[in-house]
Amino acid sequence: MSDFDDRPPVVGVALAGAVCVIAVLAALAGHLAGAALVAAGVAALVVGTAVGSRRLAIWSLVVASVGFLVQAVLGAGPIAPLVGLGAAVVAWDVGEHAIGLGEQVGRAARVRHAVLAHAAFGAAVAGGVVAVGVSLFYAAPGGRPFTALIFLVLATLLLPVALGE
Amino acid sequence: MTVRSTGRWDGVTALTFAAAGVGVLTSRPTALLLGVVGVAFAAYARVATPPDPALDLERTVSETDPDPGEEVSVTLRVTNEGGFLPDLRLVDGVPPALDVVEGSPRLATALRAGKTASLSYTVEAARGDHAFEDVTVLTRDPSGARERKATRSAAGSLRCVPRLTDLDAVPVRDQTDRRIGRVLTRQGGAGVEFHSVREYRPGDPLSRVDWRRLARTGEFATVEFREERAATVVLVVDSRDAAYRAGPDDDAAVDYAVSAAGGIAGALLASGDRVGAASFGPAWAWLDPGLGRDHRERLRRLLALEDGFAPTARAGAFAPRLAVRRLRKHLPADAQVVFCSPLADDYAAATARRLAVHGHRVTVVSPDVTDASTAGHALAGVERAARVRDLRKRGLRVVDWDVADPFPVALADAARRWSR
Repeated sequence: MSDFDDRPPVVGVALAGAVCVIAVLAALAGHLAGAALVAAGVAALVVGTAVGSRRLAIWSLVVASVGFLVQAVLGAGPIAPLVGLGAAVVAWDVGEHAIGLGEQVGRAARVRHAVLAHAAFGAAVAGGVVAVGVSLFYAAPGGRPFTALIFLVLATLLLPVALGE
Repeated sequence: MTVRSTGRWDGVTALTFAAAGVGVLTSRPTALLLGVVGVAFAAYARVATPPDPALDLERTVSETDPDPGEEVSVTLRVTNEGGFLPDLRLVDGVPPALDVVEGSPRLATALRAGKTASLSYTVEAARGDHAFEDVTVLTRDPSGARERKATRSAAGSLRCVPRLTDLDAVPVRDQTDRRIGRVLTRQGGAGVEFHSVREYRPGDPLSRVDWRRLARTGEFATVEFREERAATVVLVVDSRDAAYRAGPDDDAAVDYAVSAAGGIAGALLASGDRVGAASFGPAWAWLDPGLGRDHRERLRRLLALEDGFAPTARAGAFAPRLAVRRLRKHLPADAQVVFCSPLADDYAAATARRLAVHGHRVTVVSPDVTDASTAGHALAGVERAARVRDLRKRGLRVVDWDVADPFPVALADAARRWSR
């Protein structure tokens, strides 16, 4: 059997990079303080995806998430960090998926459909969360009712997680 | 079929709780909202199960009977006969002895119900029978949290039987059987080359009367020519583990030996000698010496397809004494032996000597696959050269073939040396 190039496919890395740009833009729209962390995390995510390191990819997501949390704590509006974190998670999802594809089918294989389909599913979930967040915000802007609604959504989503499947 | 958890979303779930915790501690609903992102993905990871694929696989091979080295294109088409497969990965079972030279035997795609995807690649044909192995099929749920692995079979095979390339002429030793052929023997009789003159006996053919002597002295005498007889030659290929390990990439030495044997077989059959073949190794193979087109075909297929001549080493026990005894039992008494071996160890040389001692004229054809790249290789080369010298001293002919040269050149050089 011939040698096997197990690096992540270029399509996956490129797509993860493109989604990372959205995350950075969202971070810039929020608070500058957290934006630096986000930028660093997102850059490391692209690098980690390109070299096939899952560990670097997940820690990059952690750093970017901390950046968005800092923005949230410092009072940035709910929409920008929400969109930003959603984009960061989708970018990580696409990147880790590409790393897995590289290991199983290799860089030489045709993977475009798989990468795009997987990215679409992840983006749908993130989009759904952003939509829920935005509608919650406009339904009850700020204060107790907002918080209560968020807890409600959290609890609803936690049900499948807690029950397993 | 196995289902495993990839664990890819575990970290994100942890992130969720951290964000929610920060949100509660700092009384920032935005931070809490960020936690929702994580929980949403965690729920996404729990919701679906990896589907059990219902697939129709069809493999097409562009050439089922290629020549060695020919590029063969393989296409695998997969049709989804079940529900939507969000994440489908296929790994085709390329036969282990074949190298993929272009394209990839793997594919990842998302396949809607009823749709077809295909993957295409090119392999380089190698001698032997090659069967494609099962296709590995992996499916995941949309989130990629769980993965199902299964195998499916798809028919496909490739058989590569190299032609016996004709060498110009292969010199055989002077051990023959009773048939008329082209080996000049020491016996006097009918033939072409002058042998001796003897007294005329009534009944001698008139064409062999020495007319010059009759004219000179008035005596009748008959000229004897060297009788030409055919030879029976058995090609014995050394297929023990040691012979395989001699090569630079582990298998080349036996491949060279088999290709040399094939060339010699083709030339000998063309000149009317009877040719048989045997494999001296864990996988025994034997073909009685014979003649004719059918026999040539049988010999060609034997050398290409039998386990005993396989391009990769065959596992199995090898009992040296039994093997030699079995070989000697099969060898016709008047058969010459062409022993094709890289002479990688002393036992190979000893076998050649043993066959010679038991009355078979032995020619050793030995591909030299040693090089001076490492100290070990250089030593192996020196040891092998010593074995060649020793065999020649004992009266065996040895074709010392440096594989950088084509075999006909090495054989012609050796023939020149023997005819001096």
